Amino acid sequence: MLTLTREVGQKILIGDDIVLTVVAISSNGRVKLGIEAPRQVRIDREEVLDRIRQENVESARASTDGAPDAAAWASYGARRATTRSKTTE
Amino acid sequence: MTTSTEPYPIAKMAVEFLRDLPGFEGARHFVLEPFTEESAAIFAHLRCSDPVRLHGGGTLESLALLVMSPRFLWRDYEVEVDEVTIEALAVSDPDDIVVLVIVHPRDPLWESTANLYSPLVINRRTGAAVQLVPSVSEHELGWAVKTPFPLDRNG
Repeated sequence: MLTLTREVGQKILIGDDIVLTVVAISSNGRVKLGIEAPRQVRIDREEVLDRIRQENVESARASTDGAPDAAAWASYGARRATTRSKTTE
Repeated sequence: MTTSTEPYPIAKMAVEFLRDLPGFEGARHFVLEPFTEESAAIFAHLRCSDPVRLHGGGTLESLALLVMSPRFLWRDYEVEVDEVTIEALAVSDPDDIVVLVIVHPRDPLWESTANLYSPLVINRRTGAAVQLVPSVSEHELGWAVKTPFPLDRNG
């Protein structure tokens, strides 16, 4: 990993069109970064993406484990759909 | 674009994610298969037709997720779809957007949760899809990765 030391207000250029700016550093160790990048470049917080990944995998595992069975879901769905149409009438 | 589409039964269709579904490397092509009974078609299986590896290693024999149309259970649910996503999905008419959420099934069924924080957004005209990754926290958004099902203990 490339490690660079920067001061507040200094920038790092990544390629031709991504600019990273150190905006502020607080006494509790938080760093505020400014990112300029083309709109189509995805910028995600790692922990958010990790939580979604983990939930997707857990959901897939639980779905293939087959609990509850399809009949139970069908029954639940039918009942909910009926409730819905009754309340919207 | 904010979408709060009225609930409607899910139709069978081929779905192609613009990037791998988070957690699964290579997972792009899926088939959405609604439950057969029409009144139950708020639920569907989303089956992947690509060979898939788990993010971080390990293969998966098959990938099938249980998904649902969220507005049947959470009537005030709304999704803010950003402009870049609208462009990427080539959505021209808001009515073309289908919003589904991934269910984490549990036994008993009413202890299940659904991921209302990062819904699936699909262009029903083309099948192009993404899973939204919000730029705000679950608390700020008001919807959780593990949103509990409304209580329904009758089965």
